[in-house]
Amino acid sequence: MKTMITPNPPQTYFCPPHIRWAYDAACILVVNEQTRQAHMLVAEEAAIWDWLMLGYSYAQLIQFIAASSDLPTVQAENHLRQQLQTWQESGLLQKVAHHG
Amino acid sequence: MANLAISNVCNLNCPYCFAAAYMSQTIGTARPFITIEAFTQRLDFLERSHISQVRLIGGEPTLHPQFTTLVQLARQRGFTVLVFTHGLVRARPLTCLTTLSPDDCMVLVNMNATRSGSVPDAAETAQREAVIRQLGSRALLGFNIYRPQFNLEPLLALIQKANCHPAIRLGLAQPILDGANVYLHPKQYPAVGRQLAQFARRAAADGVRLEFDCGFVRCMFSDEELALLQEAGADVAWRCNPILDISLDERAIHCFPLTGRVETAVAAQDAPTLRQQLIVQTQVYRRAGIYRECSFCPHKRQGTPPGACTGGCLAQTMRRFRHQNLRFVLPAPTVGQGCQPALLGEIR
Amino acid sequence: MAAGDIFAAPVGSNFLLYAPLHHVLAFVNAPAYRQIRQGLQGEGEVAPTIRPLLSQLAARPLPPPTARTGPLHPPLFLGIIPTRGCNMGCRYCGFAAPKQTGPVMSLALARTAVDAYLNLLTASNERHANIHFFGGEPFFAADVVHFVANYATGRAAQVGMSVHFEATSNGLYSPTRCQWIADHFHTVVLSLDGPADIQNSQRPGINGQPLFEVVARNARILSGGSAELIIRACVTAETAPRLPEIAHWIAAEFSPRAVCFESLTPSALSETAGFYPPDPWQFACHFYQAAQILDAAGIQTVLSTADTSAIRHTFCPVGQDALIVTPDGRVNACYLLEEEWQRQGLDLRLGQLAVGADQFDLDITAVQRIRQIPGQPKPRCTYCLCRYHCAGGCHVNHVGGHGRYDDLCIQTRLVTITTLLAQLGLHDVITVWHADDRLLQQTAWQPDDRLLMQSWDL
Repeated sequence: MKTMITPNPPQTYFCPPHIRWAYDAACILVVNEQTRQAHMLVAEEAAIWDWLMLGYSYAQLIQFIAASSDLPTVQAENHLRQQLQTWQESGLLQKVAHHG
Repeated sequence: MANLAISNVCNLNCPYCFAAAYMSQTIGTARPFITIEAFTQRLDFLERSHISQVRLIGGEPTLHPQFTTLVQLARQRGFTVLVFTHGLVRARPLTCLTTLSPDDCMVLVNMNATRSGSVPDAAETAQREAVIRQLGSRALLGFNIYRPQFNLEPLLALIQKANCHPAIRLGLAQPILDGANVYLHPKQYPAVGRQLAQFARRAAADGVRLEFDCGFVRCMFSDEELALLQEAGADVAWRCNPILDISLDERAIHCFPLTGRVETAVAAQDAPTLRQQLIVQTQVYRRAGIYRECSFCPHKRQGTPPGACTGGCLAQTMRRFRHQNLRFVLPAPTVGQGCQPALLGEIR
Repeated sequence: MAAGDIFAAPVGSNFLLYAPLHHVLAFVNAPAYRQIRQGLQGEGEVAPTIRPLLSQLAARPLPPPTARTGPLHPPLFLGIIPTRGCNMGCRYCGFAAPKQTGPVMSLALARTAVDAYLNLLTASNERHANIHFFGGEPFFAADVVHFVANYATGRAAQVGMSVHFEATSNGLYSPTRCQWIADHFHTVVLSLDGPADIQNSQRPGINGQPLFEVVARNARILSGGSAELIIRACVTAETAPRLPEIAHWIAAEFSPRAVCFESLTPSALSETAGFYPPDPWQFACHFYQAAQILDAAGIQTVLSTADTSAIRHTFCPVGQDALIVTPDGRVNACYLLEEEWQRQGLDLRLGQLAVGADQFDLDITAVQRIRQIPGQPKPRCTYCLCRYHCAGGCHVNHVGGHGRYDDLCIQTRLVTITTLLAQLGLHDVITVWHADDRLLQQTAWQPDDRLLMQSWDL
């Protein structure tokens, strides 16, 4: 019997409309108008958020993270994925549901 | 404190008007003025909120066709009256106000209100001064600062000439959150601060006190300028609280610049309850302020006692917040590896 | 007594007395002028009204500004040149596309530059960092700017430091990018020469296409953002008479902190394009009119050589240990192209920066030598009242004619004296003075501004 391996589909994230942020002197303040929670992003977390919101691609983000953290590409990728996961869990990003 | 909107219309066109968004919501509505019945309910609201002053706002409140009746109703129930007006008041409402005792009535006259969308012309100035002379000590002069250069000297002369209340109420023109009025940018505050400190000294020499409306911030004044202001007896304060502007359709709005964003229904509630609801709505933004530095500023520490800087106008602060319609594609990780360093991501 | 630092310039039948190191600025008539001169020499009777001024002039002055000495000081700023390339085709500019097609700075080099700079500051217990972006057009390599802004903010925060970001830019980008700049930068110097006809003629796109609308839209975005906007307008012979109109337009359209009117630096390129520097006499008069208009709107007007707000040893970053990193890792004291300074026989290279290094590889001999460049005043500066503000002007472009005032000197002298008179509120005096060519010439061509070296027959 032949085994079919179905690869995981790509995941699309979006920033829900109730998420707003402001650039402060040493952080990014993100507010969730729905839950009325505020998040303070600092250091690398703030940098990744900003680069993400600037519209950089996955590959470019990896390049930025690798350069800023002095990490090999593979680790930079893992770092980005973890970060996206964290933001998804805290409601700052949401995943687009894939059908079919 | 709560302001009652009794008119949704105004016959002037001030470039900095922060009620424009509020008024534009009601353009074409059947009733641009409050009814007697609704006004009576507003007085009930003030009573159950233990507020003793009726503060009439608009649009221009004196345009209400039954302005005199409204004022009489308020007086009959023992309220004192404060009217916020552009000062080009017609004869009947003016007579109504001048018949009241100065102890029971104060009229805050906006000295730089205009039809022209720019600065008041000579005719407007003359008409306003004539009104102020009739109001005498009932008149408190107000001035909205919307440009970094301004001249308050004529107000000192007028206070003397018309024997007005010896104070000037100063407002910083604030932005409508979703609108496009002319407003003073926080970058321009320090230049304004310098001029105010100098002016406060001259005003004090004439026995005139400066009173600050909401939105002023501590860092717009140097320590020396602040000392000058305090020495001159100015009522220096860093406020940004829900004023409670009660609209014709019974909404309690945080303040006009936040119309449509921070508001709640009045229903049968009292002012402290409404204010608390609005505070809860805005709490999430209070960590920030009008400047990038506010969130770490020692003058603005959350939970500090009254007197701490609030970080300026909430509408200014909220305008700093952005949203981005982001869609970010994260490629699938490859089997056996953490991730694939491939150029699969794409942003639309 | 540093009497050599007490200056007097004739303005009509009166004199502007100026001694910046003594904090003295006064407008005096001829008898007072004579008494002050005599008083400083210990001669003659002095009227009681003159005595306070005289004693202020006789008091110990501030030390004149001097060159930096010793080890490398905290640099004035870190300059990052992400690219020498540019996306505009300004007709007088040596950087304009496609003239410069040099490399783009790598992210690794950008990171190294930030690290090395912050290490320097940390070693000196500095709490504030200044990072300036130059080009070409820095946002033509926006990735580098986006990277540096975030990386430097995060790194600085880790060591309790704040960073001030400044950029000199042409304003040609999308509204989204412009909003980002307005949110992140503290100061943006935007090149905008005037209303549409001027901007499109002097600063078109690469193919000559008009770009005014884009730049003006972005000026509005910057105007409404957190960044302090400084508009820099290049003034030509043709546009100088329009300075008041330009000022009106800027005041009505934008809210910059300052407008910097700089006269065109002539070059073969600008001449080919038909642009010439303004007549200095005309420039000074129109500059004043523009300044009046902008002042009424709360906007400062600046001519960089006539900025009287500070006493300076050097006109520019040169000599102040600014470290300007080029896309290929050279560290220079000046942001201009190397061939420009080399043409003047100058070597403004401080050293280099290798990717991954934790400090700049600077030639300390070069640092010391470059610090001395501003301290070698041109002879004409010795007797000029502008010497502590203009400080000789650009070390690369304002050279030659050592003993005589050139057009830039005349322009600087007239604008400086006008500015000082305006500080005294003497607007009527300025109007009369500006209206009389003979009086302007008398002031501008005075052979020696030093009071005690003068021989006015009064």
